[in-house]
Amino acid sequence: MNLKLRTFSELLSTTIGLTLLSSVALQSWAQNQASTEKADIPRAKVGVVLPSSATTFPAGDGADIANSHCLICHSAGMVLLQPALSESQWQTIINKMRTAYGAPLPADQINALAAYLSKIVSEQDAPASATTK
Amino acid sequence: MKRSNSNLYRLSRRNFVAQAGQLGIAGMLGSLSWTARSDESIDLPFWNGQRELVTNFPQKGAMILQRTQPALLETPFEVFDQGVFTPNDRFYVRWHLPNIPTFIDPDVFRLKIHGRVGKPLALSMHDLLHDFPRVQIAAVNQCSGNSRGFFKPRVAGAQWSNGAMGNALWGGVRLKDVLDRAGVDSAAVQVRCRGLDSGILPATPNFMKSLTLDHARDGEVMIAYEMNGEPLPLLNGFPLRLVVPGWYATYWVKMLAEIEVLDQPDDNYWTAKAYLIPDTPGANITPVQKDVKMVPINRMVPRSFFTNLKDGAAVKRAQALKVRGIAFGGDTGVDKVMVSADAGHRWQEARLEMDHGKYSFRRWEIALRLANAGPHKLMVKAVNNSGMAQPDDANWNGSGFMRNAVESVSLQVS
Repeated sequence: MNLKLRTFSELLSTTIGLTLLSSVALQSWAQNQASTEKADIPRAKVGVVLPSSATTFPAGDGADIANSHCLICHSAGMVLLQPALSESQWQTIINKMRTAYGAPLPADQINALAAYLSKIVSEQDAPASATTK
Repeated sequence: MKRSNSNLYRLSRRNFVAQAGQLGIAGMLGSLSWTARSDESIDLPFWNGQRELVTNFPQKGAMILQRTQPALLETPFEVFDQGVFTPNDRFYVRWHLPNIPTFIDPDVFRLKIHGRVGKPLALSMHDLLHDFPRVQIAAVNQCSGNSRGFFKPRVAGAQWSNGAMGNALWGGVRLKDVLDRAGVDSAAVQVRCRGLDSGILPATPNFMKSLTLDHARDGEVMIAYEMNGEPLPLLNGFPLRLVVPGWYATYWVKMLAEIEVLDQPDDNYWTAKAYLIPDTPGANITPVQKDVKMVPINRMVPRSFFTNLKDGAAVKRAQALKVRGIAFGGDTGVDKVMVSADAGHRWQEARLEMDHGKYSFRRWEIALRLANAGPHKLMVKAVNNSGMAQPDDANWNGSGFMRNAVESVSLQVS
């Protein structure tokens, strides 16, 4: 079975243009295995492409801090979808990112970042855009 | 100045292609496009609740986008009306750390068991499939913060509606059998499980969760390689995930790769400091309450939902109205599901459908006839086999954990 997969893969991987074709072929191969040898289905190789986000933080005082620090580990989406939080609540979150997760944000930028985040996600304004994450 | 994730991403994609070439992987499951987006959006019923419905995540159908990286994808609620098991391609997704392997070769993958054991093991998928009894269990996997968006006052965190949960038939081997094979020392107290995901920053702690030794050996905790009869989707933990029936999903470690038997209580961040709840009934405190004793989140509590009625729907007076939904008991089965058509004054018992086991969703159904025109508030409440009922009033805690209040929908009868 492994020999079969290796031969099959090597043949196809010689041509990048055949990637799509091989995707279909590998899936149908896996399905055939599933029907005849159910206990072995988790042994099929899996490769995926995960989507990325190009969203950056909206313009404003502090946007550059958010763009250069927050996006190291996570996309902006969940930040922009928060409820309206106070500056002190954002400070707590930022400090958790620094102490628990090791975010390299200098201590003297915490307040500026918290002020910016509390401003962009605020019930006084329209909700932060949810059209891009 | 800007360090956009797309740069990081392109880097990882190049790595993927290079790795794929070396390993001879030719197939890519799921979307080949990483920019595809859906035009559709959905409004979750709380402030700042607009979300995109996206179809560009691998092995996933239409999902509510909460965050792209690391992925947070919510199950659209109508999926729960379609059956008692949540399809793999609609099952919610929740990752903490940004480096998630995108290529897994099960022939190379090994599950390591080490620490306070007689014989450390490195089990192949073949070993797990052929050397241990295969077991199955239907169980609900629910995020600790499911429904966080409904907290009042609102709290920070992923702003989920009610779709950060799902029910699957899990297949795999008992954790107990694997631990017995390794031979646990008499000094052992906990079992720590680690997945393959990791942080980008060196200081970010690896995702690990621990169970007490007794819990790990209760014969129910499982190492699953199947989800609804198929391999797990990569985003749900392929090739192996821990299944901890009746407990919140934070313990269900995805891409499980390492099991360490400890002789001291685990002090790692994810077990000792994250996912803590107030040590009060229902993890319920007031927003101003201070100095509350905190403990790790643990057993789930009962919940029930309407699945075929939307809030604000118009219905005809005196017509038979078939109302149905799902319920689960938390850490035990569903005893009964009660429905009220008059805002909780009188309750009727719904008919429970097939029992798939005490940790599974249970479908329920009831026929109502609403005699009077005007607004009606329908409510549903589950009682589990321990006698625990859903509370009428929602709990509150600062992390937005364990919401399980009685659910309601308002109907306009004419």
